[in-house]
Amino acid sequence: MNYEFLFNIGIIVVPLLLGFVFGQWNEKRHYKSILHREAELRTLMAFSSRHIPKGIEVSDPHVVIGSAVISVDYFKTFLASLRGIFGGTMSSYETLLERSRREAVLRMKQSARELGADVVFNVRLETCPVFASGKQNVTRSIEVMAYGTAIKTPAFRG
Amino acid sequence: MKYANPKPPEGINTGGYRPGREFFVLGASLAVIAGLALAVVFQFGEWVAPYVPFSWEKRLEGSFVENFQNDKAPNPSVEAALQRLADRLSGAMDLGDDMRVTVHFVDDKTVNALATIGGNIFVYRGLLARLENENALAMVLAHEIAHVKHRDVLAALGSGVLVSVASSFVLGDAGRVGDLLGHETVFTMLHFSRAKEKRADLDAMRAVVQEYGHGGGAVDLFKVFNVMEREAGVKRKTDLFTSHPLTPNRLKALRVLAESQGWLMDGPRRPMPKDLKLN
Repeated sequence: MNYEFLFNIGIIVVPLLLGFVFGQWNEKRHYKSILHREAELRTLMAFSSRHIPKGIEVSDPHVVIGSAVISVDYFKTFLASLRGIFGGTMSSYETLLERSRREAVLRMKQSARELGADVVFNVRLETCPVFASGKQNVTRSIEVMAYGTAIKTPAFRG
Repeated sequence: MKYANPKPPEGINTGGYRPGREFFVLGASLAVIAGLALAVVFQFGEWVAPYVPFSWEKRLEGSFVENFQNDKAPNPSVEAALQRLADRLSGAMDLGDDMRVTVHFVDDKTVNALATIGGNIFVYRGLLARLENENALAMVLAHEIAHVKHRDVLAALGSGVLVSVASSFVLGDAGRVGDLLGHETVFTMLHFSRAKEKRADLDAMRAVVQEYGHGGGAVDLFKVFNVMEREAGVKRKTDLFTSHPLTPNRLKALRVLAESQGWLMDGPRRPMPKDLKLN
């Protein structure tokens, strides 16, 4: 029996398997939490518009920021490198980005709620990769930051 | 105006994505393509070998070099002297820019010299002790350098190693198949075709003439081979000869070449460097 062979195969397969199992589990859990919190914060609206509708009463403006750093799992990194050979939709990264965006917006809204705000205007999103510098097979993570201006106004009081 | 925030439908962007499925589809496609590519390499290994970058070959040398070194203490002064001579000859042999031979000395009575992967040349004490002058040794080294230059080793090791080179680059070190093949199986393949031996002889001759002004080294070397063949009877037992063309034929081919080029086949011999005098 050639143990070296098994070892060489194992070194590839084990992290992939771990990445797959934990990555999927984590993602499922995260989506569940996102859906739950989104429902909770639905009444606190967020607008990308820079302009507050005219004629409403406004007080207590605050900058609110939510940021989330989320890592893709090893399995999906591997999958993405396969996808990189053939080209096409990078689906394995899409869920990562979507979750990060929604998480960042949620955190921003959460901080607005804690300030007692009723609505957030001028919401912007920024994305930045963490540890992405050209090296292959490095598990990638991204930061998404959402920020906006939270205000108190009876017009949007849920 | 009244604003509302209804729940948008879920899964428009990322719904229905199944990473496991994508993995199998992409993995299978890649496996098929890689399999086809390797089959082509396998089929045309001989043809591909000269185009494989030398640095790739170099990456694989470790296990091969270990296999030829025996347990005896290394002999740095002998190796250094051999290396000096080899470097001088390489200069006359037009090796690629990135190519360099490394000469090793094996303290063993076997009468042999061989080239293996990564430009590693092994000279056995048994052979070195029988050579009478530097010219003959130069002929041996130049012959092996020619094998390195023409990538004969890689071609002879053939498909097995090419496959491992290819896969080690695709999969990284973890996937190096060369280690899985087992060294012994690879070494048994180590023989070159007669055409390649002849080409190595001619190249070596050219280098020796350029270095010493005459091809006397070849004459001396084949004299040694003749003696050895006589000693061994008709069986031609020693490793060095089994794959090579018959000695008289080799020398004859070289004489023909010398005549056509106007080279001398005799001239003053240079004595063996003192570090290489083993007796």
